[in-house]
Amino acid sequence: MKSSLKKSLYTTLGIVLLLIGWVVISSIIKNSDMIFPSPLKTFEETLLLLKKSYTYACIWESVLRTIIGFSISFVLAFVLGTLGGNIPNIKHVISPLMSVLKSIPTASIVFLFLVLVGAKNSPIVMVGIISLPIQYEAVLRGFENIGKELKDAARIDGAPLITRIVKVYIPNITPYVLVGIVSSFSLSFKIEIMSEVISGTTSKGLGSIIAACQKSDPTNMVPIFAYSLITIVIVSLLSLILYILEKRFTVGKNN
Amino acid sequence: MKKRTLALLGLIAGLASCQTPSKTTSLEEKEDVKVICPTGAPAVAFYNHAEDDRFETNSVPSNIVSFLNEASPYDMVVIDTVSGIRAINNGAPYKMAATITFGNFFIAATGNDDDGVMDSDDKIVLFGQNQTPDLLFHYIYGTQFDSAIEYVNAVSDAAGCLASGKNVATGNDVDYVFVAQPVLFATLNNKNAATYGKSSIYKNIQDEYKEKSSNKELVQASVFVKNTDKYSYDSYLSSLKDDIDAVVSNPNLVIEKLGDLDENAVKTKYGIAPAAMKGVLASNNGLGLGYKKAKDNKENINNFISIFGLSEVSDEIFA
Repeated sequence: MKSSLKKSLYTTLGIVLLLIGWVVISSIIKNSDMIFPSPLKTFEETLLLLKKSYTYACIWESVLRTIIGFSISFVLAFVLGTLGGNIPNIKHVISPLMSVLKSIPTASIVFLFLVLVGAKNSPIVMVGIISLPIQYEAVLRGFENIGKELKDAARIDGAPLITRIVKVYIPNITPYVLVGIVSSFSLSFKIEIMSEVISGTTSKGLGSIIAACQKSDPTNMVPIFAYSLITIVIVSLLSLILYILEKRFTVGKNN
Repeated sequence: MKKRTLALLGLIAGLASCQTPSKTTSLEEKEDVKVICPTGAPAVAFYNHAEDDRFETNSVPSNIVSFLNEASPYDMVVIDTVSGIRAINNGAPYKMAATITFGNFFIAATGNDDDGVMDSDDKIVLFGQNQTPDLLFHYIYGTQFDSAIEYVNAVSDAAGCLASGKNVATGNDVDYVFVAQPVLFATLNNKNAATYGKSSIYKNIQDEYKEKSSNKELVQASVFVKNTDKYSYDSYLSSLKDDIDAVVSNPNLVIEKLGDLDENAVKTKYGIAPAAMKGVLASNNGLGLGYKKAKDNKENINNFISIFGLSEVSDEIFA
């Protein structure tokens, strides 16, 4: 209890320090609205934006596209990770693909898929491609950490494959998969927003509206900061939810 | 002999009757025209299509060029004239139908220059080195101001220089900035800008271009269409022309058509808020909207693309 209180205090201190830094920087800069708006101006603008239904539509569309891309990547990662985690030769075959996906520049993929899937959908592909290697590694690690004895015991016991998967494999790899999800979902959301900007899509989305604000009035950074603040809050909330889920599952499992 | 002559005449008549329909058959009018257009000035021409799913925009013009190919889902692509013609020269299966934006470039004064006359002692900011603004500036003014020029990457950076009166990259005070609408409108009306109240429009580049080129027009953005051997776009284009003519003479139309929509939704789709659209249009058609059939505008097109090193176009590129 004491330790969690201490943690919360330090986190609060971190937030306060961030705010102080923000105030200091914005007050040093002349005409700060054009370059680095103050927290007060940003909060005021954020409140105005939160009164508009279009803001929620943008948030929803970006979250939805992230979920679609992330889910496709999760299914693929699960299949490939299961194969790679059980058949070493397949793991070696998949490894170059994952290395390429990990290192390919984000912008190149957006341009590559722009014509194939359209500006609106290329961020989905982008999210899928960026999160696939992270999720694959998580599944793979999960399988690799199931002891050989446990695998052999389940097989010797004569349990059918489905039973082995449901009762042995899935429970053992779940903590690893959850870690993979927690660590890559926030990143995926940020990738979604960035891809919306690069692809130039003008369909609803946080990236699209940030780009529109910058293009229509590049001398006013206040709305861009406000939308960024909204994004930070969403990412923090999503991370917190996933973190709680991960903790609950892990604790539940340990009990 | 008579029979043979009659048979021959009959054959000729038959062939002629077969050929006649194909000569007069008009092309099928294309319905459900799917359009892609860059946000900004050209998009405003489509103010009547705000809620039409077949009208899409993209905020990165260079991305639109990649849609000028056979597999493209778009029947109509609006893009800067030079990129469109370059793409056609490189085999893009599109033809140029009409020009709809005739330039929205301006030189703005920051108010820093004491004598109020642009000369080589001043600091002039240009955006897009070796690109349209740079090439246009040099076409009009030659190299006389070269020692005074400082380049920035994008129009947004130029707007920043105009608003602050400084080039952040070099730290120098700036006297004149080459900038485009509608960003110019937003910057001049930004009450938080350091130059608010003293910055102003110094030169209209379109007028300068006309003066330099014996009254030729700056053909900035044009409409390109595909499958012109199968389809006609006359109806769509004629309605587009009517829309443009109407909004140029009555800028309030953009408020009537777009004013009820969420301002940020319009800003996202068009790149400009409705009030700014109206403001810029009302200021002597600052967006440069208009409509001219490409076929009837060859001389202006050739003069404009020559600045970019392109050779004269043949009639084949026109729809």
